[in-house]
Amino acid sequence: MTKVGICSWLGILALALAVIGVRLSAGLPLESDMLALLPQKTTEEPWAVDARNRITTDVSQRVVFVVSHTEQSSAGSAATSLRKVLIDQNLIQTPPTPQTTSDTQEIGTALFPFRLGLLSAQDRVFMTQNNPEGIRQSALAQLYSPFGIVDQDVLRNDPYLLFPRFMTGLNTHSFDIDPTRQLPFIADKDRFHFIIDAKINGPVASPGFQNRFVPAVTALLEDLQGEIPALEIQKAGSIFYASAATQSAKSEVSSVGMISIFGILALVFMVFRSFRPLLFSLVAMASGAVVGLAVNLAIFEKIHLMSLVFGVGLLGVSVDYAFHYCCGRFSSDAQSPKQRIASIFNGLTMGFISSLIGFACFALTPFPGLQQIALFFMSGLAMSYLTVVFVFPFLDRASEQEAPDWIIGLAHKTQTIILSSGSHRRSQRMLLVLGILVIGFGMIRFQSDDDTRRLQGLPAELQTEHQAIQDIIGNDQAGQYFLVESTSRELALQAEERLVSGLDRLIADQALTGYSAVSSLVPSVARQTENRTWIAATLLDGQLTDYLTGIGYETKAGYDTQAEEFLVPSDLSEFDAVTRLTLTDKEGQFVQMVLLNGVQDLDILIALAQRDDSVKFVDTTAEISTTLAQYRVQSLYLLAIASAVIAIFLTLRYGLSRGLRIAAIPILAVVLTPLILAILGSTFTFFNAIALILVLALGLDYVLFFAESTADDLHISFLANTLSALSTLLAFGLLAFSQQYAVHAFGVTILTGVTLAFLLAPLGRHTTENKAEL
Amino acid sequence: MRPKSLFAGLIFACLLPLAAVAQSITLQDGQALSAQFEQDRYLEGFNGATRSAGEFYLLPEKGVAWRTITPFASDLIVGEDNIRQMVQGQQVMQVPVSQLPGADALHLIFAAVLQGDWDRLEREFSARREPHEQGWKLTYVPPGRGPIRAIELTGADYIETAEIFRRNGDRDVIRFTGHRIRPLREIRQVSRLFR
Repeated sequence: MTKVGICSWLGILALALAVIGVRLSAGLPLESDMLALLPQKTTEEPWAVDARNRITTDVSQRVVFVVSHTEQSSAGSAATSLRKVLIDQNLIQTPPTPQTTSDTQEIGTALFPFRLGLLSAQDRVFMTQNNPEGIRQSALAQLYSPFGIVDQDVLRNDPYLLFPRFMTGLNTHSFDIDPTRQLPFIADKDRFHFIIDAKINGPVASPGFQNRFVPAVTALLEDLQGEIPALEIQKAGSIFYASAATQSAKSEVSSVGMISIFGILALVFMVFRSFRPLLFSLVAMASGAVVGLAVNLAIFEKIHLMSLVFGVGLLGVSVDYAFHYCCGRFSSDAQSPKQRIASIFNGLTMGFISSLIGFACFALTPFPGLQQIALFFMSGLAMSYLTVVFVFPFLDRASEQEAPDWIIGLAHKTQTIILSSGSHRRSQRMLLVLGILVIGFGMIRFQSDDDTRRLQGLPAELQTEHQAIQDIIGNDQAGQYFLVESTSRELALQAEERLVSGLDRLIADQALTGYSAVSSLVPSVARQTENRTWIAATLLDGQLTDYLTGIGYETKAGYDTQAEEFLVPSDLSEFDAVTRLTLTDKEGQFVQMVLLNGVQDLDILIALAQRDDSVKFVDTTAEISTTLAQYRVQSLYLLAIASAVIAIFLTLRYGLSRGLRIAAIPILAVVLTPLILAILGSTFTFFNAIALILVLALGLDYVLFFAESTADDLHISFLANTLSALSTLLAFGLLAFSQQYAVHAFGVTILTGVTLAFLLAPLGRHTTENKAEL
Repeated sequence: MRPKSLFAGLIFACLLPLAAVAQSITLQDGQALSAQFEQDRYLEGFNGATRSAGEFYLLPEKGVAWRTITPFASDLIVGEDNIRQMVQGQQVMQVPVSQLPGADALHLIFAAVLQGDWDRLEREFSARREPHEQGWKLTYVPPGRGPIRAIELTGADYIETAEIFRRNGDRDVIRFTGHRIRPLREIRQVSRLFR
């Protein structure tokens, strides 16, 4: 049996490693997009994903430096040096020229032949009012005012000055270009600001690249600021936030992590005077993680980073198994490895099966993240179970030994206190009142939180620099945009024009500062036709002659009214202003984006999109928050279902009264934990919810091992539970001290929940049984 | 066709003379500076110059208003954030200053002229100031190949003329007279244009 078991175990492990090897040969198929965690929507088109990816990539790869000084030459030379060194060291890609004056000029050159069909927003108002006099007056105002956009070339080809008004009305932002340094800059009242806007030359999430990029940039900036007095350099980019998070995590690993590791090592050594139990735990967890990963890789095309992290985390429950097995050596009835496994077999198997059937419901949800976590957990736990049953006895060479008096004493004392408080009516009443108070106050104070911006905990210093840059260069695009889809390019442009007229009203109401849309540059053919027809009917021929005579213009001037061609987006295919906004341009499907600046009110934008079936508003940040909210709610539903399934299973095994009593302990821990945390002022997030799964699984094990113990072995079970709880608290509970909110939330829930489950576990035994122990 | 550069160059042309006007005076709270202007615009295709005339107002903390009176009434409001053109009280154009290359640099030049920091103008903008008749002459040559070739200003206590030369041969000449420091309450109507 043992040999067959070990051979099977080795076979499964080899198969799992083979699956992992095959899948990883093409690279780790890791997914980090939070929105990929949502159930696959049938409406999710590739272009919608493309739009999101473009925005995400743009945001995550972008880095901006603003080099400021009162002297243009000082700021310019510092910016030139900075850019050169960043490129030479392969830290940034050669920056593409940002939108410059010359870009605008080239776009102007490309648009000019189509000027008769291009009207500014105000000129369109004159058109809709059928007010050609408005156009004439605008032209005269410009001709005579000191601010007139007029010269001989403009006047000859565009006597009503339609095109300059169209161009100046475009919602674009451009910078001056320093002619000698070829760098964009802005000058304000006090200083010159040179701008380096580039893409990093490596993956933003790679700690290796972060370690190369951030220290090099920091040293460069210090050198430049040391060389040039009063030079200021602001920086912004996801790489700096990512690096700060990595550094914070590293610092926590070296503090919290080291305390955790040394704590567990010390605990194991003090109890067993050997590190072998730790080795057992590692073998159980590692083999479980290998199988969990292999099963996920075999089933899913990509594994989400979050599933991997939490899947491995939940396998921490297998540490329990190792401690329960190893504590067998303290029992006089379990001298051989076979006897040790036999003594815990019932508790172990019941815990395993309960967890398995309880969490099977997580695999049935449409949420891919929860499916992956559940499959990782169930397959990994199965492998850990096999490890304990077949491999531990094979590896175990330890003989019977005496448990240290202090730990036996501690375990016994705690056990006595808990059992006595659970057995006396007065204590029971006090516990009941305390429980009701916790539930009452907890429910009053309970609040959920899914806002990713708060959950990320961005460093204030970097946020200040980011804001300073936005104040200077005015780019505050924040992952909110519109998608306009239609069956043809023309219909998409028409839909976008309807949307843009709404956006113009929002700008007038100061609910928005700007937008970028293809139709601003390239009106629909329908609109161009309308513009041309109206101008031809109201402003050309005799009207034009009268106008030119009136201003004293004596040279031939006018428009080419015979042109049949209309401006289409492909005429501007070489310009980033159009290509970056065009997602799909093929027969039967045309999709473009409208990017937004300075969004003040999301609800108005959502309402605007709802007016037109072709238009969809996308808020990436809100979508991530919504994803987390859905996962939080879904996890809680599934926890409730898992608890019910486990309770039914336990009543079948132990009978109604005892089964419910056993099931009530971990369920109580799961219910009370978030309420206690609410009383302490914590909000409830998805990360708390996922930690509750581990609380349920661990709590179940604690109570089952206790319930399955004979009276003689009770102190051994209690000792094993104590060790398991202490090691879990050291491994996960210390995460409560993390600066990263998600990690903190996970840790603080484990800390509270496992403590509760451990303390409540002895009460899972029948009252009469407990009284007998006392 | 370079509409944006042309536009920016003209903002410069419009604001710089005003800055120079104010270089020798200090406006107190509640005061504004006004003057008359007369502009001759020389464009090919016209027989002679197109002439316009009106008033301008410098309102501290607000900006500059050009009120063209003849031959066609219109207002041009150059505020801190945007530039607007009005005809008979109706706005016919509005452009954020942030969209105009050169407008930011202009503020700097504006400040330098106000402070009489001629060294800085010479060093950073290639703006040369030299004695001219009873006063001074400042020449600014914009960098690059934009449509504005050069701008020349002359004046004594106040600026007297501003001349803008374009590469295509066109030229604007603006003459300033009748400078007055006035209480803001006298020009409430102008003040209201800066909304």
